[in-house]
Parts: sequence; structure tokens; C-alpha cells
Amino acid sequence: MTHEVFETHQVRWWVWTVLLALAMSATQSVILIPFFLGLLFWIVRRVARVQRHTFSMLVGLIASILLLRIMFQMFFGIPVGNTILFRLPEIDILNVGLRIGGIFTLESLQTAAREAITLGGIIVALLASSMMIPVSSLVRRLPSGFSNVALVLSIALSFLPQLLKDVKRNLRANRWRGHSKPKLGVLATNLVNVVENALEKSIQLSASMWRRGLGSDNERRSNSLGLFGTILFLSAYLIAFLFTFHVSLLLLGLLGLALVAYSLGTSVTRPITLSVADVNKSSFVVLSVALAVVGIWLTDTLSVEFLLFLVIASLSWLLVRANEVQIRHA
Amino acid sequence: MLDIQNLSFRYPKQQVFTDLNLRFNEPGIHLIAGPTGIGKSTLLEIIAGSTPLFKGGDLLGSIWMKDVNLFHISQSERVRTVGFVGSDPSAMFVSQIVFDEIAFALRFLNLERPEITLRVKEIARTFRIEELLYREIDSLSAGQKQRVAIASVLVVGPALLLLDEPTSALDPIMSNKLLELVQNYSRANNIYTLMSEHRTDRVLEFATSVTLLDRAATFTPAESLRFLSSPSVFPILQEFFDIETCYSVNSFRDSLRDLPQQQLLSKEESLGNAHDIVVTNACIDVDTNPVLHDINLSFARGSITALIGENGAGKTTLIHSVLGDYCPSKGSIALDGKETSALRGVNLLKSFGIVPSNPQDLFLCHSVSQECALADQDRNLIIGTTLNTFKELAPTVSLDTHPRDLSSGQQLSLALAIALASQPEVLLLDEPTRGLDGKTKALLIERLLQCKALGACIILATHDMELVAQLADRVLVMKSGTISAEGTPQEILCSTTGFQTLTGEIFAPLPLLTVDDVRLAYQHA
Repeated sequence: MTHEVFETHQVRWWVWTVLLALAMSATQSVILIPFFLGLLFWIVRRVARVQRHTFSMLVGLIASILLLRIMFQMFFGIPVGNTILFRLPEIDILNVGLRIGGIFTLESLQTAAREAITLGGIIVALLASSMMIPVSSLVRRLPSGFSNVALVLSIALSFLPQLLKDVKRNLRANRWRGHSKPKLGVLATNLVNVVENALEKSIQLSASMWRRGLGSDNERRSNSLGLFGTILFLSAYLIAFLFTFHVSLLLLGLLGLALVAYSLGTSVTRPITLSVADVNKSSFVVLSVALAVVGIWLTDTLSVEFLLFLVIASLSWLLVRANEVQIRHA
Repeated sequence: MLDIQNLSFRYPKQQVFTDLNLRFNEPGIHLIAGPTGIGKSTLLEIIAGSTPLFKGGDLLGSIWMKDVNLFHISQSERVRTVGFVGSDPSAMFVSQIVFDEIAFALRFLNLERPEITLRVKEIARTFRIEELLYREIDSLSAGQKQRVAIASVLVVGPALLLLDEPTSALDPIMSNKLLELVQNYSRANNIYTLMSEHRTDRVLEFATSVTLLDRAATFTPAESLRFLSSPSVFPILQEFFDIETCYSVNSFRDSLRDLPQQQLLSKEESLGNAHDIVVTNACIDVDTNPVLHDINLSFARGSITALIGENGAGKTTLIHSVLGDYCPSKGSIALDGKETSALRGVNLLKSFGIVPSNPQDLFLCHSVSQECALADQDRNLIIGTTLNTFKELAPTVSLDTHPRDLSSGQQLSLALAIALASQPEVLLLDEPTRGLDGKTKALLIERLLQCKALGACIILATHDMELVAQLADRVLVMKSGTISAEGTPQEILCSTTGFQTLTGEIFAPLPLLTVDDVRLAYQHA
């Protein structure tokens, strides 16, 4: 087996996962959802070579979400379909239509499983991104006008990876100190401490970025045009959020695209290196983009709003690129 | 000139400085020393500007760097003026690739891409990390990480460099190399380098001045010898031999060259015969990467074994494998015939005590007193046992302080108290003197010898050769995941290049590893 090196930009990886998460949230296809999830896990484990225990934790997370969602559906959900799998004792609550237990159907199981895998997939996609690409790579590409936002974002976005690390640290400390409670019990006991520690580490990371220039008023690379493009996009996103949730999801993906365009223009460092086994890099990129688009297409959300914001996205992109050209000529 | 004027600082629950005045008149390495918890790291963080901004507290006074008040400069000016590297460089890395890490700060200086590349390569050449530029930071050794961290702040050309315990996790060879690099760079570029350190002996010869924070005063290295507390070797030897002030190995060797070549008898080693921890053909993989290869070892009760070796040799992995954190992919690690990786709960606690390299990894509670109470409760000790041990090691700490807010030396003291209080059968210590001042270190040595006398099997991984020489019965040298040499401290430390004590370096080739060895050898001379 030969191994070739595949290079992708930090932001591009984030956009890829955001688009994948977007596609997963949008599609209803029972074939595409597991396919997306499989693709994500393959990338995370084989291409990005995330450590084995981290990978196991991600798989465990999906399994927990799946289990909880099915249990919830079993005890509290409204039955869907007619293929009864089993029947639990049913308790009506206050005669207002609420119940616990009752029949559990194959269709309910399918719905719960699909929703759980989708939700789990989105969480894992975003977690994987923040674990694989340090959040600093993203926030430092925000225009200088957003320096304080960038600082807060850096704390917020690095929180989840730090939390995962601290959960592991806490479980290990409990073993060292001879506590033999089940893992969930340990975490429940130390939840506040774990969260505090993770936040503290995120703040330390931000402090390190601040000491080295994040938030500096010296960054004039993104002048008013670049800033205008970004503000335009953020405004469009906020307006869209007022319309529908789906459109806002789409715009989130497009915002990512705009950030890619921005970052490609301003990137100064070498792209991150990922290794790919027996994969042609161009086909990899085409396949990922195609999958994201197909996911969106299948949801019938290729609406007027979507087209409108495609235009805004292109406009922003052009503004940013033009801005970069101007700077280079100057 | 760097001038600290009337600096007062207070954390919400603790006054750290009151009207501190310090002045550094010339570029070079300025050593900041003082007991654990005196505020060395805090002072550096205040100068860097991140305290109180990110940690809270009340600050008064001013800090002037060449007529610029550091408290009244813009963020971009600050980046160009001050560079800070914390005691744990891993906590400050913001990128995955070395090149990106070094270029991070340049990104905010509005430089063109070729200029950035040029500067990164230039600083990488100076710090001899050119070949690492496209490596992932996680794959670097501690020494390489330290150099990357320093390069990534010096790349912007600050006039002031702040280094918090830069050699505490480095082996003696790497530590000397790093100090030499920083000294040369500081001199060549007129940089003021403030460096906090507990291992003062190894830094003195590179230092321009020494500031003792407990005395709030600055001295020349020679003057500082009068005030440096144990375990500083130089003042003791100086007094013993009645020679002029020396604070480097070479000057000491010159002063002592006329002394008679005494031969010290080897210490009698009393290794027990019973081997209670047996490691048989053990191979350990960490995240599928093979780290330890075919290790065959045994550790007896009532003995102290020191693991030494270069950064990344596998010492920490061996410690955690003995504890059962890693399951051997081949072979076995057993305590009294039982696999250690199978030990859980009370059985594990009864057998093992651990002080990890990052003491914070051991803490579970919100305050020092809660941590100590939990340790007592876990081990069925009389209430207050752990707390008393901690008070002995760190008497000045407020007991309602969050463990996270302790200084690195105080955190280590707390971890040591938790591990020592119950007198476990096997005590595992990973870098147990990192950040400890001389007095606390002497207490630690005393407690470890007591544990040994009570029959404990003590295994410690360390870069502190003085500790090895004073404590260990047996030394194992690790290299690339294997045991490359084994013997008594005298056999190993006198024969292995780069792993000598300071006294050993001064008196080489005589096998005199500690001040006590020297006294014994020359008391009749």
C-alpha cells in the first residue's frame, strides 16, 4: 500500500466538516446519513489519524446519543407507524395526551435512530474539526476589527476539545486515587471541576494567542472592503436566521465558504499536511464537495433565499479577492 | 534599561508584591530566584501583560522598558517589545506545525509572505530547529518544544524575553545547550532576558545578574552565592575549600586543580533480593506507536530506583506502565505476581502512589483542604494526615486556595503530600523536584528516605542528577525506549556523558557526586 501526502488548508478542513454537518442535518435519506457518517469516521481515523482513544471516544459519543434517543422515544415518544416491535406498560399523565411507555414500533425506532445519528454526526464533525485543526488557525484569520470577537471565539471554540481532554484527565486521576466508581458516576461528581478546568485551559490558550498578537491593532491587511464583505455576510446570516432555521444552516455553510475565500487570500503559512492512503487528492476534494451539495439538494431547500445568498457570497468573495489584489499591487 | 517601579499586586485572596522596585541595567540573562510560591511566575506574567488581564487581581505601579511604560502601550507594541514563554510550553502552542507556530506572531505584524518565511527560517537556524520546521509539534521532545516556544516569541524581535523555568523539564545536556543559545542570542541582539529558575546552579554562569525575590534585591552572580539557599552546590564547596568566588564548573575546576586526588570508596549498596515488581519482555505501545521495547526489569521493596535519560527516551511511559495505565502489547508487568494493569480501586491505592509530571493531573477538588480530606478519606487515614504533610512541604499556602491557583512548586507539594501521606508500597514519581525550592527539596528527600526505610519501592524519573546522586540505590539509563545502562549512581553518573551532577563535573574524573561525597573525601586533606 502506498501513502501519499495530501495537503489541505486549515480553514478548508473546517468548511468541509461544516458542509458535511450541514448535509447531514438537511438530508432525510437513510442511505446518505450512514454514508456521511462512515465517510467522516474514515477521514477522522485513517486520513487525519486521530489517536485511537480519541476516536473511540467519538464513536462512544455517537453510541450514547443513539441509545439515549431510542430510550427517550421508547418511553416518552409518540408512536409512529404500525409495525409493533413490543409493548411496554403504559401510564397516562394527567389525561392531557402525555404518556410513558406503550407500544414501540419499528418506524419509531428508525426515526429515533436517524435523528440520533444525524445529531451525533453533526457533533462529531464539529468536534473532529476543533480537535484536528487548532482553533487559532481559524480565529487569527478574522479581520482586525473582530479582534475581541476572535479572542472570545478562541475561548469558546477550544472549550470542547479541552473538555474532552479534561474528562480523560479526570477519569485517570480517579483511577490513580483508587476510586472505582463507574465512569459516568465519576464525571457526574466532578462535572463542575472538569468544566472549570477546561475553561481555564481555553483561557490560557487565548492568553497565549493574545500575548503573541491576537487582537493587535497592527493588522491592516484586511481593509474596509474586506471588512465590508465579512460584515455583509454576517448581517445576511443574522437576517436569514430570522426566516428559517434551515436557511440559516445553509448560510452558515456559505459563511464558511466566504471565510475560506478570505483566508486563502490572507494565508501566510504552509497548509496543514494530512496523509491519505491510496486516494487521489483531487477526487477526494470533488467527492466531498459533491456529497455536501447532494445532501443539500435532497432536502429541497434550493430555494430563492439560497440563490440570493449565493449571489451575496460570490459578491463578498469578489470583494475580498479584489481587496487582496489591491494590497499586493500597493 | 528595564525598571520595575513600586509594583504592588494582589490576587483576590493573596497579596503577592508590595512596592517592589527592581532595575536591570544591561542586556543579558537576569535570573529571578526565590522560594516556591514567592511570585516569580506572577512577576513574569505581569510584565508580559497577561496578568491581571486573564487571571484577575489588582495591580499598581509601573514597568519601564527603555522609557516606555509597558502598562500603557498598545497591543502591537507589546508584541514587539515583550516575549513570554511559560513553564509549560505545550500550554502555549496554538498551531500543529512548527512553522505555523513560529510564524503565528508575525502574522499580526503586517509582513509580506516572503519576509515571514525568511524570518522563520532565520530564527530556526539560530535555534537549530531548521529540520523540525514542518514537523508536528506533538511529535517533538521536551527540549525541542522549549526551543520552538522560545523561537516563536523571539521571531518578532522583542527587546525583552521572559522565560519561566525554561530548563526544569530538560536533561542537563539540553539545558546547557538552551542556556547557551539564549545567552548568545541575548548578547548579539541586546535583549533583556528575565528567567525564573530553581536550578540556579546551572544558570549562574550564564547570568548577568541574580534577583532574589524574597529579598526584593538584585545581585551579581558572585554576590548572590551568599544568599542562595540549599541545594546550591557552589557556596558550600567554596566555604569548604576556602577558595575565591566561583560559580561555573570550569572556574571551580581551575581553583581546585592543586588538590590531592583523593579516591572515594564506593558507597555500600544494599539492594534487597526480593523483586516485587517484575517487568518481563514488556513492549508498550502508546496510540499504536511503539514506545518501550522488550524491557526486562525488577524493582525491590526498600529501594530507590532512578530512571534517567534524554527527553523522549520513555521514562514517563515506563512509570505509567508500572502503574498499569498502559497494558503491555507483549510481555507483562506484575506486582507480587499480579498484572498491574488489572489493579483497580482500593487494591491500586493500597499498592501505588503516583506523582505525575503534571501534578494537576492528580487533583479532583476545589480547594487544598478538600484535596487533603479526600486523600485521607480514600486511604482511611486519620483526618489531617495529608494536610499535615502538605503544611510541612508548603507552609505558607492558604488552605482554601484552588489547587489550580497554586504555583507549580506548590502543586507539586500537594501531589507529593497526597502520595506520601499513605505510605504506599510502591511510590512512582515523575520529575518530583520540578519547581521545588531547596528547602522543600531537602524535605522531600528526607520523606522519601523514610518511606524507603519503611519498605517502600520508590521509582523516580528525573533530570535532576543531584537528586539521583543523593537518593538512588540504582540508576537505569533509558534510550529510545530501552534500558541502555544500569548500575549504582557512581557507576552511571561518572561514566555517562551529560548525566553528571554539578559536583561530579567539577571533580571529574573522581567519583564525587555530592557535596557530602566531597566532604568525606577531603575532610582529612
